[in-house]
Amino acid sequence: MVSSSKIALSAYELVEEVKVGSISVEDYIASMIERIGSMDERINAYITLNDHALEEARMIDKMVKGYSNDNGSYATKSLLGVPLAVKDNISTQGIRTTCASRMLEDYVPLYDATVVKRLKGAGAIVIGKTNMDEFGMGSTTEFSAFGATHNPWVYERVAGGSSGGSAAALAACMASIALGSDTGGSVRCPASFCSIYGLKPTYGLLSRYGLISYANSLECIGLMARSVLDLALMLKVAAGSDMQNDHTSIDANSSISLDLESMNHDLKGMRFATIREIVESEGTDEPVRDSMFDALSSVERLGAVVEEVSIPSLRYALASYYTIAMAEASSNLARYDGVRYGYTAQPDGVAWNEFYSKIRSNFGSEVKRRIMLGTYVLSSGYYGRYYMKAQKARALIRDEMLKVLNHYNAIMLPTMPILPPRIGERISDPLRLYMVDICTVIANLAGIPALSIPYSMYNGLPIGVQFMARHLDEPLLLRIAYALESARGDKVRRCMI
Amino acid sequence: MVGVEEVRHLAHLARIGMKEEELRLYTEQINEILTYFNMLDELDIGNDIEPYRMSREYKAMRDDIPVAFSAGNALSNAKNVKGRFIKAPKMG
Amino acid sequence: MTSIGNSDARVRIGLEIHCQLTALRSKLFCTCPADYRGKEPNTNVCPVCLGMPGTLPLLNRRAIEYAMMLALVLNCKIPSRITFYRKNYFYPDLPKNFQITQYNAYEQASVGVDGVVELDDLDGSSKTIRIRRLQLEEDPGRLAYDGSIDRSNYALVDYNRAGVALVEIVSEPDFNAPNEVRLFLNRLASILEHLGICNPALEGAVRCDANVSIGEQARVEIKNINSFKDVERAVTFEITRQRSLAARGIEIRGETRHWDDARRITVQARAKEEEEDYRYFPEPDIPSIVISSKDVEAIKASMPELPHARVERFVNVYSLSRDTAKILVGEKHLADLFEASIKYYDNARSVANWIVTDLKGYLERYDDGGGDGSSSSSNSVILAKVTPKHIAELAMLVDSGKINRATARQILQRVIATGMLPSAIVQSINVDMLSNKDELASIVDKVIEEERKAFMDALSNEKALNYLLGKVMRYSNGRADPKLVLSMLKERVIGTSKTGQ
Repeated sequence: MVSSSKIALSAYELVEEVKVGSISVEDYIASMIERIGSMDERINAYITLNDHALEEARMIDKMVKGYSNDNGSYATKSLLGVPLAVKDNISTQGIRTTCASRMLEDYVPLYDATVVKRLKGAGAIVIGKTNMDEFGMGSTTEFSAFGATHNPWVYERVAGGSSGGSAAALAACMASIALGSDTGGSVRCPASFCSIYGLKPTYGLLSRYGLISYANSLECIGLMARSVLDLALMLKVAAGSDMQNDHTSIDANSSISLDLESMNHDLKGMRFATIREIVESEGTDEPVRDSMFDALSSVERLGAVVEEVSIPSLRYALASYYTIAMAEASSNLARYDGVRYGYTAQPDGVAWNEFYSKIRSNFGSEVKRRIMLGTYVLSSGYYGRYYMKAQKARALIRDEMLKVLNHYNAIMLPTMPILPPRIGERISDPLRLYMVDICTVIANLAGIPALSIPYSMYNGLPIGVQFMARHLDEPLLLRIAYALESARGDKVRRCMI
Repeated sequence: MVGVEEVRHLAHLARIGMKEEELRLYTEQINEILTYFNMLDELDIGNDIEPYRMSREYKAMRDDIPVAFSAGNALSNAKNVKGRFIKAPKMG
Repeated sequence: MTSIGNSDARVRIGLEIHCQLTALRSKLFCTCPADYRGKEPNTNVCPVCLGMPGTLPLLNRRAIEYAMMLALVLNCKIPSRITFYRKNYFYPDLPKNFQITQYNAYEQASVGVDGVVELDDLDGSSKTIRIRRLQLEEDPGRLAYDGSIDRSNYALVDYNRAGVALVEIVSEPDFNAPNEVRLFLNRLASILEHLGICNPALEGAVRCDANVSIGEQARVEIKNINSFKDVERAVTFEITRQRSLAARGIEIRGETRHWDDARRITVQARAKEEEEDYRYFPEPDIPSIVISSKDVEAIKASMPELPHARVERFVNVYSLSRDTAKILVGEKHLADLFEASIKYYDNARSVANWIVTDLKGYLERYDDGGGDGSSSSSNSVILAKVTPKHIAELAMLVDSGKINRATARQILQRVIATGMLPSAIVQSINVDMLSNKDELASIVDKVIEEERKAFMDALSNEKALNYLLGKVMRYSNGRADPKLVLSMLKERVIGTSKTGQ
C-alpha cells in the first residue's frame, strides 16, 4: 500500500513517480479505493465507483514496465495513472451516470463525454462518479437522491454545490483531480467551501458533449484540483474544439499558452477591479469580506493595482440567470419520461398523460420547482416578459463586464458571499439559497473564465477568492493563482492530510 | 400572482404529478420567486439591445457523411421493449 | 385576374407541406443514415437521435443548403441569420419531448420567409400564392400497435425515422379551389425533383396538412394527408362537407380533422386536441447561423436547371411546342428520358411525342392511383425498365415505317416485361412488316383456299372481307400490313368476279 503522504501528491508529482516506476499505479488506486472505503461513508462524496479502475491501473503498470507493446507512448501521457473523480452528470461509458437523480438511478451511458475521453487518453483513471445536487440544481449538494455530501473540513457543514462530491473527494484525498460542472458557480462554490481550486473555463473551451444538460447556454465542464500546475495539466488535455460533437465548442488551442514554468511569480503591471455592488452588499458575510480585503493586499504586495468599479446591471444578474437556467432546464429535462431509459413502470393500459406524470413525479423537489418555473417563464404570453427580458439583461451584463475587462486584466471577487452553511440550514428557503450565487453567476452570463482560489480559513471553515478574466484568458487566471500559491505557501491547506 | 389552478396547469404542461399539498407549497414558492424575477420589468431596455445569442457561420456545420452508430446496443437502457420496438403508453 | 374553373373567392385554402430531404445521406442532427426505410425497428438510431442524456445536435450543413435552394426557387427571402427553436410537447415518438424546428414569432428565424409562387398555367389565367415561411425541422419517430390501435394496450415506438430532415413549407390561405392546390403541388413536386433534394415518390416523403374555410366561417385543419394526390381529394371533400353543413344552417366548428385515405373522407380527430402551449425558445445547443449574401449567391450558382428554364430551353433548342415541353418538364423523369433519348435518335419532336402520348398514356393506364402528384410506385418500376435507347429505337422504328404505332405500343409492353431492346424484339418475333408481296400473296392464297365459302360471300358482301383479313393477320402473326392485305384481297375479289368464277 501507498503511504498517506503519497496519497496527497499533486497529479504532476504522481505522474513523475509513475513514469519512473517508483509508484505502482495498481497500489496507488488500491490505496485510494481503500481510503474511500474507510472515509466516504461519512462524507458521501461518491455515488458509484469504477469497477474497472484496478484493471486499468494494472494496464498502466504493464506499460511502464515495458510488458505491453505500446512503444513507450506512455511517456507522453501527462496524466498517467492519475485517479480522476467525475461528477455524476458527465457521461462515462459503461459506468452508471445518475445526475444524483432517481430518474437516472440505473442509466448507463453508451459513450464517454469528450472531456472524459481526452483525460482518459492522457492516462487518467476514472475512480468514481461523484455526488451533486440533482441535475446540478443547487449550491450545497443537499438536493441529491443519494443523500447530502458532507464537508470534509467540518463534517456538519455542506461541501457546497452542485459539484460537492468532486470538491469533497479532492479535499479528503479520495481523488487527485476531479471534473465538475459549472452552470452558475457549481465548480467554484464547492471549491471555495472545500479549499481547493475550481476553474470554470471560457464557455465552449471544453466540449459539453456528454455533460448532461441543465442550462446549456450557461454551463461548462469545470476542472478541480489541489494545485495550479494540476489545473494547467488538465486544461491542456481537456481544452479544444469538438465541432464533430458540439457546435458551441470553440477552437482556441493555439491562443492558449499554458507554460507555467516560465511564468512570473509576481503580478507586476496587473490591474484588477473589484465590484462595489458586491463588496458593499449586506449579503456578504464579515469573515468573507475580511478575507477578500486580505487577498487584495496580497495581490497588491505581488505588484498588482486594484481599483473598485461599479456594474449597476448586476442587480439583474440573479433574475436573469435563474430565468434562463430554469427555462432551459424545463425543456432539457422533458426527455426523462421512462420510455427510452431511466426510471420507469409498465406502460400497459396506462393513459399516457398519467404515465408521464407518475414517472416524472420522481424528480426531487428542487428540480420540480425549477421545471415548473421554467415552464411558466416560457409559456405563451410570458416569453417577452421573462425569457426575452432575461436574455437582454444578460447581454447588458455581458457588455458591462467586458467593458470593465477592457480596462482591467481581471475582476476580483469573493467566490461565495457566505461561509459554508450547516447541513439543512438553507434548503427550506429556495429564494434565499439562490441569492448566494451572486458572485459566481456573472461569469456564466458573460461566458468568461473564472477561477476560485483557496485563500484562507475562518474557524476551520475554508474561504476562497475568485478571479474572472477576458474570454480565453485562462493563462492569466492560472498565473494569478500560481503567484498567490507561491506567495502564501503552506498558509492554505488544500487537503486534509 | 399565480394561483393553485395555474400551478396545476403548469404541472400538467410539465407532466409532473403533484399532490394537493405539494401544489399549495409550490404555488407559494413560485409566487415568491416570480416576484423577485419581476425586477426584470423595471429594466427599460428596448430594441437597442439584442437578446444574447451565440452565432456561427453556416459553413462551420457538419458535413453530410453518414456514420451508423456501432458502439453498443442503443436499446440497452430501455426496459419496456417488445422485439426491436420500445413499448410506450398509448396515446388518446 | 379572371376566375378559374370552380374557383370561389369565399373558399380559402392554406397548405402546410412537409418534404423529407431524401437526397441527404445523414439525418439532420446526427450522422445516422437518412435512409431509414425497410430497416428493423430501432436499428437506425444513435445516442443523439434517441435523445440520450448529454448528447448534442450536430447540424447537417447540406440540409441548410437544400432548404436554401428550395427557398430561392419559391422566391423567399433568406434572412442573414437563421435560428433553430425548440417546440416543447410530450409525445412518445419524440425522443427529447421537444422538436428542434424554426419559429418566426420573435424574429425572422427560418431559412426562407415571404415567398411567392405564380400559378400561370391555369387555363390561360394566373394567380399568386404567397409562401409565409420555409423551415427546417426534424422528423419524429413512428408509432405502431400490436393489432389494432383500439385493442392494443400500449404503443410500440420505432425511432429509425427520428431526426430525419424535413422542410416545412407554409402557404398563406391563397388557394380558392382544389385544382389550384393540385397545380401548386404538381409544380412543387417537379421543383423538388429538379433540385434533386426530395423524391416525392418515396412512401411518406411528402406529407401535407391543409386548412379550409368558407367565408366568415371557422377554419378547419385537415391533417394526415400522406400524398400530394390526396390533398386535392381531401380539400374537395372538405369544401363539399362545409357547404352542405352551411346549406342546412349548421355552424362550422373550428376543429382538426384527419384524412382517411381508405374511405376518402375527412373525419373528426379522435380526441379533441388540447390547446397546446409549445413554449418555443431558441435552441441553445445550436448557435444562430450566419448566412452572407455571398453564401446565397454561391448556393444559387450551384443550383441545377429549374423547370421554368428547362421548358424555355426545350421550346427554343428542340422546337417542341410549349405544351409538350411543359408536360415533359412537369415530370422530371420524363424530361430526363427525353433528353437522354435524343442522344440516340435526334428527331426531338418525334421522341417527345412518343414519350408524351404513348409512354405517358401507358403509364396512366397502369397507374395504381396511389403515390403523389408525379409518379406512382408502379410507374417508377416501369420507368426503371425503359431506357433512353428503348425510346429512341421505338421512335426510330415507327418513323422509318418499319412498324406501326399499334405494334410499337405492343413492343413497349414487351420492353417492360423483358428489358429487351425494341430492335431485338422486332427480330425475335419477326414483327417486321410483311411488305414482301410474294410472301404475303402465298398467305392470302392459302386463306382463300381454306375459306372458299367466305371468299365467295365477299364477292357480294364487303363484311366478309374483314373476316378474311383477320384470318390473314392471324396466319402472319400480326406482321402483315392490314392495308396491304385488304388491297390484295380486294384485287382477288375483283379478279374473280371479272372472270365470273
